[in-house]
Amino acid sequence: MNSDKTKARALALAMHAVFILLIVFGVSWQRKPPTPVQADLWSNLPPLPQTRAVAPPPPAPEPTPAPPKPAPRVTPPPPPKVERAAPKPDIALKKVEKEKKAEPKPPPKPEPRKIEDDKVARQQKEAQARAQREARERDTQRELAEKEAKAAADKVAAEKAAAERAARAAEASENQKYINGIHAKVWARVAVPPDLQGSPEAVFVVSLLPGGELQSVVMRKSSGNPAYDAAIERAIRQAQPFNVPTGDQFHRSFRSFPMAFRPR
Amino acid sequence: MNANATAPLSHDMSILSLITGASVLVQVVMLILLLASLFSWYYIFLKYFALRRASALADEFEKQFWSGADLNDLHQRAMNSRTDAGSMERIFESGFREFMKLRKQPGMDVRAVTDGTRRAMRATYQREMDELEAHLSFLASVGSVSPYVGLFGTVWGIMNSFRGLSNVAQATLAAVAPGIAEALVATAMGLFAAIPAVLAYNRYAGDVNRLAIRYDSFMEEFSNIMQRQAH
Repeated sequence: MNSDKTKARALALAMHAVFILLIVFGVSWQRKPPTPVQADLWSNLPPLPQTRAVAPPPPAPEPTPAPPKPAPRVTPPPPPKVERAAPKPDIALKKVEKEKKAEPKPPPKPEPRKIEDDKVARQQKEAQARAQREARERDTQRELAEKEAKAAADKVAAEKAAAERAARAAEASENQKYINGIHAKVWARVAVPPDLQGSPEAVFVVSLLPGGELQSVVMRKSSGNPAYDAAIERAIRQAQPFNVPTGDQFHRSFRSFPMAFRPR
Repeated sequence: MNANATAPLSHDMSILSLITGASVLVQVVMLILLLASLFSWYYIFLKYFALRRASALADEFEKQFWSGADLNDLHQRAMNSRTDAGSMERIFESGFREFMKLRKQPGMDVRAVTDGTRRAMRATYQREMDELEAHLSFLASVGSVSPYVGLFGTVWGIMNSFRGLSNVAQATLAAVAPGIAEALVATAMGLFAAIPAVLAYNRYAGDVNRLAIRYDSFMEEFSNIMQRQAH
């Protein structure tokens, strides 16, 4: 009988201990609030984040192929050009030589012995001319290469600048779309007070967090109607989170920006 | 404008924080319910062992009794093992002793002897039944009352939580929900104590009833035997 009592006591305690452990550790009591699902309606879509992410690379590949291009171009053109350039100096030199020959000819005639000297001098001159020619050839070649490289670099720079300008323009238009979206979202929640007269403009500086949540909203310019100002501020707070771009574009344009509200 | 005043989105809803966060009265209610649950389970196990043993001993004694053993031998054995004898054995023992005593007395007619034997057995039977039924009423009480006790704790907790709500300008569900959850723990505990108690009470009451019927029929049969012997 006594052993029954201790046994029953132990069993009762064990049962409760097991049950409490099960409740405390076996059941997950912490629940996460589901993230709100939000849908914004856009009349025309800004490019999707993926395409936006991909868009910058295209300009990048272009510059890289550009440097190789000059190299193959530089090597083939010089030979023909040099050939073309080479005859010219030759002819010129020959002319000069002829003139020279014509000129110095009279003096040697009186002294036949000098003809041999003249030959040596001519040989020397020829060698000199050849060296000159070669030097000039090299110069022209170098110049040509430089010119070509410069042209290529200019081209690349121009292309880059153009791409940048285009990207900036695209981003600006995209930003405008986002801002229009935010404005529309806020405006849908603004309850314009019925006693508002005219169309006063209120400007608010909106600071956002990455992801579109509102950090702060500060009134920069009052519309003159406190009720209207308050309605706009309330609407901004209610309308968050906003649809904003990600990454650098957000940091450039959406960290903090002014928004003007004007009842039509 | 009062975006900063909104309550945090999620509360720590673990069962421990719910219990520690409850008001004092609700905590007292919870403690009472926990004790009730502990005791009811203690008695559930105790009664389970006792009834199982009583049933086994009754089986054993009936087998011995109907196997044609000598009544004097059975009586002797029952006298020797008085402490761990079953209820049926004790009933038989008291009845047989009374029968022997009455038979020794001169001038007793058969009717008087059998009546006396039966009364003696009835007395022992009542005592045994009392022991078997002990604590069953406690299980019945826990089963019927602890839901109300838990409900009391819940109502009190919800009352407090709504009173707190009157001080808040903007009534949100998040402001009341923790208080209600805390209060509801009391009801849960009440049900947790009550359900096993009710189930055990019904089961054990049925078991005791069946044992009582067995004892009763044994007494009738034994009376018949005594009556035959008295002649």
